[in-house]
Amino acid sequence: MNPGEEAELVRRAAGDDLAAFAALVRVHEAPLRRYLTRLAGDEGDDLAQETLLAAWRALGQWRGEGNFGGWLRAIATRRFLDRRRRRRPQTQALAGLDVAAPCDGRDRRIAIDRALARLPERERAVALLLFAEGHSHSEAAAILAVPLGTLKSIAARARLALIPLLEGVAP
Amino acid sequence: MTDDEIDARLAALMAEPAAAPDPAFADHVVALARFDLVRRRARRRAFARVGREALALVAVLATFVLLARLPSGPAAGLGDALPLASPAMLGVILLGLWAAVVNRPSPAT
Repeated sequence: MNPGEEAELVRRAAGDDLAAFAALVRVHEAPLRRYLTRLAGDEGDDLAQETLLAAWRALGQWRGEGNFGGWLRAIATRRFLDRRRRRRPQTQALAGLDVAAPCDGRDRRIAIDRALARLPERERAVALLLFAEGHSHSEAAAILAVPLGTLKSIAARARLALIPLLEGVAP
Repeated sequence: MTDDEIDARLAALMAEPAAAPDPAFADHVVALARFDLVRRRARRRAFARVGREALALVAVLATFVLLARLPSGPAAGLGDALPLASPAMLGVILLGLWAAVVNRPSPAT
């Protein structure tokens, strides 16, 4: 879907056109759920549903700057961080796990998930946006609503924590 | 190794194939949005109705106030026409206005 078509769908959905909203959901639900599952684990689908409903209520506020997927990630990340702020971080339970990446593909995936789970929430979100989703630093800063310098600091910490994953992986 | 090289290697490591769409999940979200839309419309209608009824209440109260302030004239006979400025005629006019406000059809219904 090109940006023009997407903007038109958003405009129609903002006018309470459910068919247009359904088309947007079908395009964006899978990547959004994948992002949130890696960010929030088992809560991913629940957060994705919450995010899409929040977006439905706030469609009129999307000004068409950046892409719609980025706007959804901004809502999703804010909701995730809000949820985590209300409860104690669960990262300590995984602190003792080995995050060096084994060569086997499935084990590597597990090692990546463990390494991500050990990161503080904001660093995890930044790592996913930059490395897994391929957003630029400025896009990630806009999504997380932080200054670019702050984003780069968070990214540096995330990078440092994830470097052990690269051990044993051919460049 | 530079930061850009590390980022590129991390990106390669963390890249995943495109996630499969889940039509049941999408349908569920759209159903929730439909419910939300119905609820919002019902709420808008309820607010509009409360507004109209508040207006009607003000009309009735104004009637009482005006009737209480008007001097009572001589009692009209059975065949006499009611003067327009009489309390009874004013009451009838205000009652008509009240009925018109309350029964005005809502554009949403």
